[in-house]
Amino acid sequence: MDDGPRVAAPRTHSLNAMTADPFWNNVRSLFQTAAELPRDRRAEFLDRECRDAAMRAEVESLLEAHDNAGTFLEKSIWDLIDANDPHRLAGTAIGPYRLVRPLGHGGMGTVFLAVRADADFDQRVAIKLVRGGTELIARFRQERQILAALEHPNIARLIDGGTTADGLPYLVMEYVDGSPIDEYVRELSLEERLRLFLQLCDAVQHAHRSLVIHRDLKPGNVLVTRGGTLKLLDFGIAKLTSQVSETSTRLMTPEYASPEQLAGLPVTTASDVYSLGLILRELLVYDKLSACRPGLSLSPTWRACPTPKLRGDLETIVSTALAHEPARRYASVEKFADDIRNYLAGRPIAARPATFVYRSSKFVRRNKLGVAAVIAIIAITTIAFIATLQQKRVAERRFDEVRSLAHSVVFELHDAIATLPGSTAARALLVKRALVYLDHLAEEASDNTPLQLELARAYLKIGDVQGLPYSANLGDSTGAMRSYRKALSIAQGVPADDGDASLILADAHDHIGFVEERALHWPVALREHQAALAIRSKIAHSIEGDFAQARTLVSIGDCMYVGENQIPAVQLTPAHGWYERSLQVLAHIPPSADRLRVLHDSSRANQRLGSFWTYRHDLKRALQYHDAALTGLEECMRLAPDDATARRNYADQLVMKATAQNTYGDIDGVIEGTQRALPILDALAAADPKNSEAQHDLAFAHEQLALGLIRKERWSDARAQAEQVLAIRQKLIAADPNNREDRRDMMRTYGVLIAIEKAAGNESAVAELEAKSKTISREVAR
Amino acid sequence: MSEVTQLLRDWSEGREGARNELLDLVYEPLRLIAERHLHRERQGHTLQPTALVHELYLRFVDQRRVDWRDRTHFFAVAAQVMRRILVDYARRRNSEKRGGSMLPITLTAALDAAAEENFDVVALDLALENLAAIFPQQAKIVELRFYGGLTLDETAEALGISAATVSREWTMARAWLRRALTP
Repeated sequence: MDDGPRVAAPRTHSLNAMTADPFWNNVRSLFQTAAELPRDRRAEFLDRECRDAAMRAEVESLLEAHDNAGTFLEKSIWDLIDANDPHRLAGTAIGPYRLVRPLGHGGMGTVFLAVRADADFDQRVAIKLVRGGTELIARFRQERQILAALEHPNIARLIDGGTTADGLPYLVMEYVDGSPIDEYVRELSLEERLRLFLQLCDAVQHAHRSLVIHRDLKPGNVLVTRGGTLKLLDFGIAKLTSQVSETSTRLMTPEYASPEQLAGLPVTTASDVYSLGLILRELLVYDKLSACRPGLSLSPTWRACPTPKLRGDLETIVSTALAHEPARRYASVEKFADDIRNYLAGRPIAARPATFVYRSSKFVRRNKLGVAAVIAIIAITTIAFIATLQQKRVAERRFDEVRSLAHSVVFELHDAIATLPGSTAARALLVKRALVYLDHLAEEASDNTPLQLELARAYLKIGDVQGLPYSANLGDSTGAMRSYRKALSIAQGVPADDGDASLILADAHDHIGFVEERALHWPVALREHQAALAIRSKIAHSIEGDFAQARTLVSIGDCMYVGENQIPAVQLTPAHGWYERSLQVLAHIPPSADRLRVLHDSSRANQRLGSFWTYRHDLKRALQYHDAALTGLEECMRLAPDDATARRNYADQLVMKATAQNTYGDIDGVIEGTQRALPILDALAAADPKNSEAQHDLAFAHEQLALGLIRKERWSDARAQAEQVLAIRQKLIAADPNNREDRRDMMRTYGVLIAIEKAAGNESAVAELEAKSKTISREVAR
Repeated sequence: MSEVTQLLRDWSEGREGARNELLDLVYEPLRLIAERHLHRERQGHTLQPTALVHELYLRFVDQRRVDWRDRTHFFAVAAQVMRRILVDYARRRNSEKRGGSMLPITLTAALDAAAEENFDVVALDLALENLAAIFPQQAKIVELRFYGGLTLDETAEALGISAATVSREWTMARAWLRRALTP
C-alpha cells in the first residue's frame, strides 16, 4: 500500500545526550567527570576507571583540548558580528586621528576615512585597521626604511603606523579621493586608457627598483583622482601582512593573483607583471555601457564605441603578460610598458605569439571562413600529429609531445572554433582524433593522475559534442551518455582528495543529468545534479566551480519545475528558489572573470524565472524576468558578434518571451517576437545542418508563431507554420530514436494541428492526426 | 499543519496576500532575533539587521516543508539557517571583490573575528557534522548557542533538558570541536 510521502519529523525533540555506541558513551562520561576534577587528580581517576588504552587516549586528548579551549566559541556568531561591525568604530580616536567612516573591507582588515584631530586644517587620511597581531607593527618598523623609498607621485604614501588602545595594529596612509581605475576608464578612449595604464606601470616599476613587490595589484587598489592622477594603494602592505599570517594566498584577491601566487609559490616581480596584465585586459575590454545600448545601433555613438574584443598586437601584449609560466612573461614591467609605447607609436611590438595553437586559433578567429577554416585546421593538426610521432623517437619525449598536442587540440583549438557556426561535425572529428592518442597514452600510464584527469576531461568534451543538450551537438544521446560514464569512471579512479578530480566528477554527474533531462527522466536528473552540487560544495571555491554550481542550481530548478509531477513530494522545493540561488551565485562572480559568461548564465536563470512565473500566472513578474534575460542576451550578442551561440540564445529568448505572451494574450507581441527570431534561427540551422539543437529551436519558434496565429484565427497561416514544425520533428525523431522529448514535442505539435483542423472543420484530417498522436503517445509512455 | 506551512503552501499556489501574511508572521520574529543581538548598544543602525534578516528570510522560504511547532523550535531553525548562511558565505568569500553590500561586510567581519579566534567557519561546520554523527544533542547545543545566540537557559528550554545538562554537554562539545580544529 502506498501511504504517500512523509515529511521527516524535526530531530530537535528526539535528542538525547547518549549515543548508540558504548565506546563513545564511556568517553563522554569519563571526560565529563575528569573535566570537573583538578588537573593533577585526573590521571589517578583514569587509572582507576579506564582500562582501555584507546579510550583513555581519546579522553586525554579531549581533556587537553578542553584545557586549551580558552574563549573558543564562547561568543556566539551574533556577538562576533556585533563586536566587529566596522560601523561601530566610527568616531573612535586612533592616535591623533578620528575615524569617520569605513571605506572598505578586505582580507587584511577594514579601511577607514579618518581626520587628524589635532590639526587646525582638515587633514584627511586613510587608516587601515589590520588583522595580524602586533608582530605586524614590529615588521612595519623594520620595513619602514624600504617603504620610505617608495616616494613616487603615483604611489599613495604610507604615513604612520601604531597600535590602538585595544591592541589592534593600524596603518595610516595618504587618503586618495578617486575612483577605481576600472570605473574611471569608462569614459576614456583606447589611447587614453593605455596612457593611464602606463602611469600604473611607472609606479610599479619604481617600486620594483626599490625591491618591493606589490603582490595585490587589482583595480580596487588603483585609484584615479578627478584630476586624472593615478595613485596606487597598499604598496608593501601585502608583503607585511603575509609575513605574519599563515599564507599570503589568504590575503590577496584571488582573481588578480598570478598562478604562482595561487599555488603558494615564491612571488616575484613577474607576479606583478601578471596582475598588471589582468588589469590591462580588464581596462581594454571594458566598453561604454551607457553609450552602447544596442537599441541605438544606427546612431553615431554606437559606431564610435571601442570594440570589446582584443585583437592583434594588444592581444599579444596582454597574453604575453598573462603567460602561465613567469619566465614567458615580460621580463620586467619596463619591457611590458615599452611594448605598450611601441603599440601607441605604431611600431612593431617585441612580444610574439609563439605556439602553433595560438597561431591557428587566431587564424580561425580572424578569418571568418567558418567550416573551411576548421577543415584546414584539422588537416594541419593531423599532419602535426603524424610528424610528432615520427620525429620523436625517444619514448619520453614523444609521450610529452603527443600529450601536449592532444591537449591543445581538445582544450584550446576545440574551444576556439566552438562558437563558429557549422563547426559541430568538425569539432567531433577533432576531439575524437585527439582522444585516440590520449586513450593510448592513458593506457601506458594508468598511475599518472594528471593524464587520467585530462582523459576524463576529454571524454566529457566528446560527450558534449555528441549530445549535450542545449548546446550545439550531434544529437547522439546514447554516445554522449557512454562518454560521460567513461569520464565518471576515470575520475572515480583518481584519489578522492584531488580537487580537479572532484570538479570533473561533478561535471560528469551534471552532464549525465542534462541528458536525462532531455529524456524526461527528472528524478534521475535531479539525483545527478544534486550529486554534482554536493561534490562541488565540498571543495575549495573557484570561479569555474561557481559557474558550474550556478548552472547546476538552474538544472535542479528545472527538475523541480518541469519534472514536478515525477519528483516525490518530499524532495520537491519551489523551483524559483533554485533559480534565484543561481542568480545569487553568479552575482558574486567578479565581472572581470568573464563578463560574457556571467551575462549569459544570468540570462538563462532569468529566462527560467520568466517561464516559471508564466506558469504560475504571475504575468507581470514573468515579463520582468523575460525582459531581463532579453537585455542580457542582447548585450552578449553585441559583445561577441561572431558567436553563433549568442545569436541563438537571443533568438531563443525572443521565443521564450513569446510563450509568455501567448499565455496572457499579447498575440501581436508573439507574432512580432517570433518573426524577429525566425530568420536568425533559420540562418543558424542552415549554417550547421548537423546541429540538432538548431532544429529544435526552429521547430519551437514556428510552433509559438502557429499558436499565436491560431488566436488570431488565421487558420491557413497557422497550418503552414505547424506543418513546418511537424516536418522538423519527424527528422529529429528519425535521427535520434531514443529521444523521448522529441516524441513528447511531437505530441504537442499534433495537438496544435488538431486544433487548427477542428477550427477549420476538416473532420477527416482531425481523425487522421488523432490516430498519429495516439501512436506517438504510446511510444512516449514506453 | 502550522500556520506558516499553510501560508507557504498558499503562497506557492499563488494565493494573493499569502506572501504578505507570511512575511509578517516570519519576518517579525527574525527581525527580533537579529535586533536583539545586533541592535543592543546602538540607536538608528537598522540596516545591518535588516540585510541579515532578509537573507534569513529567504532561506526560511526554502525550508517550507519544516513544521515549526512552537517559538523555541523556530529559534532552533533560525540557528540552523544562520549556520548555513555563514558557511555558504565563507565558501563564497574568495570571490568577493570590494565589500559592496552591507551584508557581506557584516559577515566578513564575523569571519575575520572567527579567524582571529583561530577557527575557520567551514572547518567548524564539518567538525560539527562529525560530532552530530556521534552526539547529536551536543551538536544541537552548539548550533543553538553559537549560531542561534541562545543563552544556556534558553538552550535548555529549547531542548527540554536541564541547564546543568546543557552546560556539561557544551563543555565536551567545545573540547571536541577545539580538538577537531587544532591543526
